[in-house]
Amino acid sequence: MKLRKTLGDLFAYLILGGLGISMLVPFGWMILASLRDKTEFFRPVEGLFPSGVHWENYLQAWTTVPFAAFFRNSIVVAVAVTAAQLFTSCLAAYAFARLRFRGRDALFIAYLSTMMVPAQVTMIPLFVMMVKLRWIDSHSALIVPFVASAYGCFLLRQFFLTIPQELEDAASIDGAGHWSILGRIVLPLSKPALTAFGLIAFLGSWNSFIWPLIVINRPAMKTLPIGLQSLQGFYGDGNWAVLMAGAVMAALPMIIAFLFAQKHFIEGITLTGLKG
Amino acid sequence: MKARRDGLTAAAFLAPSFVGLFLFSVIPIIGAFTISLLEWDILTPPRYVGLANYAEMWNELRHGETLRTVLANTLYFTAATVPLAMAVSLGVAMLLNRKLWGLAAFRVIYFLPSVTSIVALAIVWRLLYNPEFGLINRFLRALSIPWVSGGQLTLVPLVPNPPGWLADPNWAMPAIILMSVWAGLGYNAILYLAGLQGISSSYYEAARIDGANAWQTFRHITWPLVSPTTLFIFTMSVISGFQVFTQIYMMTAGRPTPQTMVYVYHVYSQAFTSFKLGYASALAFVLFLIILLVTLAQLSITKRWTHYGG
Amino acid sequence: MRRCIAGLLFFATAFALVAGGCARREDGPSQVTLTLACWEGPEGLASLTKLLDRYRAQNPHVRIEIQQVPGSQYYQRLQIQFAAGVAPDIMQMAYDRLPSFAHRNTLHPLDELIERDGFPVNEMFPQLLPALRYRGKFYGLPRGWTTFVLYYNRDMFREAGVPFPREGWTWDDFLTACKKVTKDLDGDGRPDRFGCDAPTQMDGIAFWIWQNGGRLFTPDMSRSLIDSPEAIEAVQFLADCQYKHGVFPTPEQAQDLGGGGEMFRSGRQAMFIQGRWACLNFRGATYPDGRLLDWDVAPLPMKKEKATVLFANCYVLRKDGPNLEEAWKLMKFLTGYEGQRHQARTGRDMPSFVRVAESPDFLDPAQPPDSDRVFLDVARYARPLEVDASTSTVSEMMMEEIAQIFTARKDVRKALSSLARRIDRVQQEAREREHGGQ
Repeated sequence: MKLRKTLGDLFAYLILGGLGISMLVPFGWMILASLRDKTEFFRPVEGLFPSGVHWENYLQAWTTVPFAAFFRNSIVVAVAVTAAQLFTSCLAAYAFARLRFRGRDALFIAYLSTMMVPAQVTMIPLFVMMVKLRWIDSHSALIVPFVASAYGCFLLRQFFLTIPQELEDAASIDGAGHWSILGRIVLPLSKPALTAFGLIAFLGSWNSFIWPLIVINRPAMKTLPIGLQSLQGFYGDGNWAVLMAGAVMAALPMIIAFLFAQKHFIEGITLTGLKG
Repeated sequence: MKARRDGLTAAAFLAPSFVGLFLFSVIPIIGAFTISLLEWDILTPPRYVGLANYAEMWNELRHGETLRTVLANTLYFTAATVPLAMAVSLGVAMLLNRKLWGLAAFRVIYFLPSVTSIVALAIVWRLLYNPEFGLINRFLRALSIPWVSGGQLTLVPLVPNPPGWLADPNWAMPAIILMSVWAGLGYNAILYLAGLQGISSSYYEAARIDGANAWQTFRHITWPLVSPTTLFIFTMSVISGFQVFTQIYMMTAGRPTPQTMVYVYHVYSQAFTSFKLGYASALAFVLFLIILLVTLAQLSITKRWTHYGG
Repeated sequence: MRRCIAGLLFFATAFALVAGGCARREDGPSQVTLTLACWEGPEGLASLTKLLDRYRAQNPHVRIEIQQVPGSQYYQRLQIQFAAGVAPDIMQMAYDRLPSFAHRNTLHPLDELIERDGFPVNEMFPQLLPALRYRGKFYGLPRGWTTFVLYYNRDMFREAGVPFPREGWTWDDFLTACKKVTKDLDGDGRPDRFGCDAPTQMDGIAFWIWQNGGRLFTPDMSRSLIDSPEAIEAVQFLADCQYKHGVFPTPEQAQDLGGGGEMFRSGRQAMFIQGRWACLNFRGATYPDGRLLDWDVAPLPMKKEKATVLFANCYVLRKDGPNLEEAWKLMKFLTGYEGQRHQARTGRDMPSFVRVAESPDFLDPAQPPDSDRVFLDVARYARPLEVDASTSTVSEMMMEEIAQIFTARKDVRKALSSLARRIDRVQQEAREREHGGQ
């Protein structure tokens, strides 16, 4: 019996290890390639760094396109969107979970139904809106349309419903209004859900590709994903080394954040991924 | 408990999200349908054309090539990635579930692609797929086994002519499929792992006592009990399969060959490159309907197979 | 405490909203700010800035804001800017896009200004002028132009014992040279060096068809002639070069090696057909082992006639823009003699004025190619593409079908017939829209 388990474990290690290597190889290659000279891609080369380690590829990637601006834009937008979505969703979730008013459930269903419509449907009219408002090439176009999130309202409402109402009832007997109940009782108890949703919202904004692609054309206003894409546009097939350097720089922040906050990431994914 | 009418408070609490959703979700949905009835290039005044855009779509489908190819490619992509991704990630999750040492490290390794920008991943995979110098083909060409031929021990290459991947019309889509499955593996595996960990070990105990082998255990215990996760992953994967865009945009690098042109790319290019906003909106609406129908069909079919046992 | 945080969040959001819509700087009392849009890369931008600095020295009250947008998104952005009413005052524009924008009343017609100020358009190369006009009116003036010529690697020709290409060279000579040069150098069964590469764009195909006596369109552009026997023959010749003779690299062989230009530059391809700007790319090019590439230019081969395509890179003005006079002044500078001399010296374009083209500013003997004159000699029979408002759509369709022929081995006759039908349909719809709608 034990043997079977050990054999099974060995098998598992083999598979997981082998597959795991395939997970890491592209990353390793990304880094390796970023430090080579660009001519070393079109002919067979000996050794890891035939002509030395070319750190200047990173400088070139940084300066060919406004990388600093890409980072700045991505951060500003992601932080603003996350803050806004947390704010609007907390309020709405509390209203749906705790307040009583006519048409509450119908309104909640209405909120949910907006999630059913794919982004591709709304992106064209939103684009028209951005053009008419002259918000093209501005942060507003990347932030404002996303201040509310039906998904966030749903998620937080589900979580709020699991919080026992006794604490809140006690507070309201003491005369606390809804605003302070939300702030002093519900929110502190909701840290896991808030963190999870905050992370989802942040990641969603950070990785957003097609929308920034549509509304941002000016290089200095681009976010990281489309900024990196523009680097590919510059060097395409001509300078893989610099392109890889750009890819490494773009991927690094999230990877580092993940390594430091693994628990939160994974909790967030699983919390929001499963229902019931 | 006091029964209170919280109408005013509710209004205040709901206002921000309501305004946001109304202005940027509801209005655009109506707007999208309106635009689909127009012919508009955003520069000159729009022209009302009724259902002409939809008629043009129908026409394209029957006589033209583009829309048919685009739909076929999208279906191909979805039909290939979903089962593959689910199978592999379930397998990985089951292996991870064995309480092995180093579980945390494995989790990190597998999840790494999921937190990396798919743009960066697409770039490195493009290099990996390079027919001449990419790692993948170099590896395939180097794969050889010793063989005795003509009395001599020689190394025979297993794959002397590896595919051209992104450059070969027949291999371009498989290349993108493989990359997409790879990128999403960790995410799905983690979801499955959570689902598996929710299965009480008493079930497995019972199975062991009854003498069930691995396959029987899987078929009668694991698979049914993990079905909520399966349903979720399946539904989400199909929906995102239909909406695939970024990998295609990045890996066929602006030269969209017909072999990899997918639906959302087509919508994007019609709207923002050709500025045929009306037609693109019609395309988007039809996508919405397709996704809706497919999701409803999935839910009704799989409802019968889902077990919500604890 | 929570309230404060919530309040902060609220203000952060509000601030982000406002900051996003942030404004432009206010102009001083007599200051004028002009916006100039271009798609230049880093070197082009540096060169343009130098030129603009000279203009600013002469016109200190003018501030020029350069909007640099990558080529792949350039026209989309322009269209959006026009739609939003924030188009730049002066823009770079390829001549083949001119009709599409002029047609929609976004560009300022220049005839009156040209006449009023006596801008010497008649001192330009005459074959250039039709490319600047739409429906008889001038809408653009050239930053520069070019004819397409044959770049060739002298080392490879010498090594293969093939005489250098020259005026009167035929398609057969071209094919023979390709065959002699295409070699498998490392013995792995696949060629590592090629003769030339397959076209990917409309102007890469057009001159082959012209050389065979064909046309892309009927003279009034009412019908496409890309499925005519002459056109099919021409494209079949190119397809054979790739598939039958194997002297053009297939996509597998060329992909991610940077395409034809990069292949030529790294010494993997003996010939390359392109305009003047390739010179910049190839000057100082080396083989992998570090030797300098020895290259020159020659006229394109001929079949039934001699033909080549020209390309004009223009500046255009926003219609009835707020700073029209100042923008026009800047345009006159950039496209006038001083600007042309500057451009010629950068090696990026051919100057539009005949006098400048014949001067050492363009014919600099110190830099390759030795045969600069070739650009001017072939100008005799250089033609612009026939363009109209639907050219960008047509050009994209053409790229798609060409890709099918050269990457998916689609039958040439089938591809061109279907292309002709598609082009006719697009143009007919455009005509209907014009008459029926606006």
